[in-house]
Amino acid sequence: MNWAAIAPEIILCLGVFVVMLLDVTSKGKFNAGWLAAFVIFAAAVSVALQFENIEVGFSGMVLADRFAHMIRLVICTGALLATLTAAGSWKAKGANTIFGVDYFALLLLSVIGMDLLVTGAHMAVLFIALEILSLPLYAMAAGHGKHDEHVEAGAKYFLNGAFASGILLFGIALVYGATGSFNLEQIGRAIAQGDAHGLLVWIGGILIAIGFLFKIAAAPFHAWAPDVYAGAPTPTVAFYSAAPKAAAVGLLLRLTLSVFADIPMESFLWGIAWLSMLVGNLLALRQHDLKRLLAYSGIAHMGYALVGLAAGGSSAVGAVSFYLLGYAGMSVGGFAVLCAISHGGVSATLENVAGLGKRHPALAAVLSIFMFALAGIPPTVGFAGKFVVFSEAVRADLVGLVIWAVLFSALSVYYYLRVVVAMWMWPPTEESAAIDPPASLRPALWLATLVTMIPGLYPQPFLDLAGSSLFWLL
Amino acid sequence: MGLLSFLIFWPAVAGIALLLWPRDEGKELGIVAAIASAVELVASLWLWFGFVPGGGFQFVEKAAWIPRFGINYALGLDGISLLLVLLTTLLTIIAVVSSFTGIKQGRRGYYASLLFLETGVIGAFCATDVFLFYIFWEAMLIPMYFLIGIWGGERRIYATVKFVLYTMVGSLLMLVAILWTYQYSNAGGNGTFDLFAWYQLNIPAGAQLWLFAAFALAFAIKVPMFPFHTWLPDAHVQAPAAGSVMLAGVLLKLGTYGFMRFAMPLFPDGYAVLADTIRVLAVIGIVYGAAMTLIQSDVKSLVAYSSVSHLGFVMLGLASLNLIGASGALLQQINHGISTGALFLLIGMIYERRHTRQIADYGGIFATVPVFTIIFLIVTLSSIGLPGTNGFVGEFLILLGAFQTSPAAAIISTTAVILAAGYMLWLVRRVFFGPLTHPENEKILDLDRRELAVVIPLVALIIWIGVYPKPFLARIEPDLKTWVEQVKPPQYGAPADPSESFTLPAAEVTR
Repeated sequence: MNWAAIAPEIILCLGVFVVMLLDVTSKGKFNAGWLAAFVIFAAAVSVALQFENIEVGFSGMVLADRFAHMIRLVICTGALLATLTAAGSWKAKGANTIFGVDYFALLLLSVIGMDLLVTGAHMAVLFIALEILSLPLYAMAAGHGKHDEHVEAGAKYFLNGAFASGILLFGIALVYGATGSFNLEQIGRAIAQGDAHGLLVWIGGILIAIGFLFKIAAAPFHAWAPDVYAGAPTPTVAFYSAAPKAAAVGLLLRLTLSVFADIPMESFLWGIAWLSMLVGNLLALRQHDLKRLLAYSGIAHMGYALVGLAAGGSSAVGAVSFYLLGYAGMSVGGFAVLCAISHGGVSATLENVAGLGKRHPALAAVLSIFMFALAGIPPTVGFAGKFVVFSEAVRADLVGLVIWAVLFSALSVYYYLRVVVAMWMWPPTEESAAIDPPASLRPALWLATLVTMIPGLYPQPFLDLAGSSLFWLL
Repeated sequence: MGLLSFLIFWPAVAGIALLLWPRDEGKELGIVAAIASAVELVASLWLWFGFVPGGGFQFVEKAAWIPRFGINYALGLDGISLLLVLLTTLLTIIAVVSSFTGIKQGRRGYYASLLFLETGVIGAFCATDVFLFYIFWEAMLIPMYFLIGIWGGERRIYATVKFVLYTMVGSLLMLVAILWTYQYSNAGGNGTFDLFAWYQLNIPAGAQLWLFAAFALAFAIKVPMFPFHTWLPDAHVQAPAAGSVMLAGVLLKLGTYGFMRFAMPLFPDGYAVLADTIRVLAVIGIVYGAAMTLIQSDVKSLVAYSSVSHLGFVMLGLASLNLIGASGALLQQINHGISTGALFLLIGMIYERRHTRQIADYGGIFATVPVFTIIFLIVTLSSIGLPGTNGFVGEFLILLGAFQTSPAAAIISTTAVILAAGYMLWLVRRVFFGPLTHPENEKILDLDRRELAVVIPLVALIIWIGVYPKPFLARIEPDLKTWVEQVKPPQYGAPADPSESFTLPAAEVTR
């Protein structure tokens, strides 16, 4: 037993109990969001305190190395931003934002799953972690079942997720069959020593990767994402957009670059990266619903992250971690603004944000920053992140893929700018006049803006942190 | 904090202060912006007097920024950037003051955008770290995008999106080239983005071709060279007057500056392969731009197309690869900023009075606005390169330089000079002279004192550079000599001493 290895998870677990107790005692009058945010912050602090340590526990089933710490920090950042967003939208009258105290219990549970996913060193832990991560997400998508579109989103997400879990299990079984172990270290050693059945491991590895590619909505496993994003409550989508993706990409990094390092997966990842950028950017071009737009943009951004994954190498690990941190800021920030917009019951579409710059200049300015960041324009973290990821890819001689990536980036400028154009250059409409952003969303917006701007202006400490996130295994 | 850092960040600080200003309307916003840009102008004059000709890069500042990638906050200024920085500070205050009456809504954002733009431009001119340059280069897109998109004309959204997309495609490919070049510097594990270190890199010729092409595309779009020019007339026509001044006066120069500072000296072997292509495109741009002006009915798009032609001259001068041509090219960049900036200002002033830019809506207005007419005429003459004005010195040096390398290019381009004289004088005749055709033009007011104060400095510069260009040439020539050596591709058989390529010192040639 090494409890230190799962210290953040324990804190989160206690948080879940406290939040659920509050649900019983306070009869829904207490905004549990702030408490949940505090719990996540405490978990992040506990990660930061043991950042230098490598903790192995539970008979080697859990491994908290510096890479796990780094990704846990990214997860906590994304989750904290999303929790503040949800807390700020508490008890809103709008169609998309009704939820109770249990919402935050589910959210914390899901964060536990994410953390375990990147600390798990055993296939069983990974699978259980994925389910702990996913089941609350399905429930959160469905809201309280008060709206048909929420229920539909939850059902769609559940069915797709169950399918992905099945594929993952199949992959795990194949790898077990080929190597005779569930333990990541032993699997890696068996593959490296050539003891494993090559083709079985390869198929198993690809199937496991596909299971997680479903989670991050990389093309061609993305089809659920826009529908689920559009249907689910906006604060939930803010949560979906960053933290689970960081966890899944983190695990993919560990699996492909460390455990399955000797299996040729580069061209597979290359193809997935290219396809995600293509599909995400092209389909985003014609979206008027901003939630769908950000959903497709998320697909494209996972494509950029996978460019780093395809590059491989220990420095690529740092680059992708840094990218995920930046993406957490700008993506959750974007959804937080959408929460502010839809707070008064206005649906967040391109037409409805027309003239927002005149009515709510601060809100429009913040959304513009997130849009410029997502488009990768300096001096935001969006640019810095693309810069480090692409430079890793050029180092790995993937110049062709990088050229595709920048061409798709240029394309993406068009649809991100359209939002900015609508806000600042279109005349205000009746709908946009009804937008009434709640002051309680300000902490989320401020924090997201800081996460988007500071690593863009002064990336060094963040790069150092991400760069030191090495695998302990292999 | 060094002088260059002050010059870069002072406008940004003033811009943020303006954004936080409690009121969005009211004249004090313009005055605050004018004071801020006046401080900037005065500070930039320190550069002019403190600059030692031939002293290489001066006012150098360097601090580690992202050591992990060998990225520094590194600034420096040589003769090439000196004049461009001064041009920027001068045109910014003129742009600010000229907007007092024309901009009535959203003043906070408007003046802040102008000042942020100044930050980006000066930063790009002073950066000696390629990463830092790229940051400024990209970041200045944002204020320009807002300037055109919010305060522009009817089709402003189309124009501004086109402007940003064109620029982004070019600059993102440049980013790939930057990352690729970085890998060469990183061969020993000590990668850097330091420009001077990059000048020393030994990059294989095959790679240089691609790297040069990627850099050149980004800069060619910004210049804009034919056939990448189509965003320019749209952006110009839709931009507010001050936006056009900044766009033509300063932003386009970043393209030619990029060629001078980055694309050509970093990849001379790559440039050697594409030099003829660039020269041909420059000549096509000169003639095509001039020809297109003939059929424009809108004064602003006429001046915009003439910019395509003028910038073609600059590129021709650079492509001549000798000191005369390069001096002419650099001086012509400044001249174009002054003359075209003044033209856009004047067009903006008359537009404020009559709310039309169609040539057909004017005619014979010399009688009502004599002062305006005379100033417009002087600027026009400078634009067509009449001896005694700045335009003559620049064009003359360029053609002289081009003639040494490619007589055919020089001869064809000279015909465009005649064409230019034709369209500009035709424009002046149709707008100002002859009988007064539209009765509503009878009551147009002539220039007031503020407007005169804005244009007189430009007219003074037109004549100063035209009559006595020596102080300017003296500051740029030593650095250009080094530059020519750096850039000249091997097969041109560079003479041992670049000054042998012509017989007289440039200043004497022009007199």
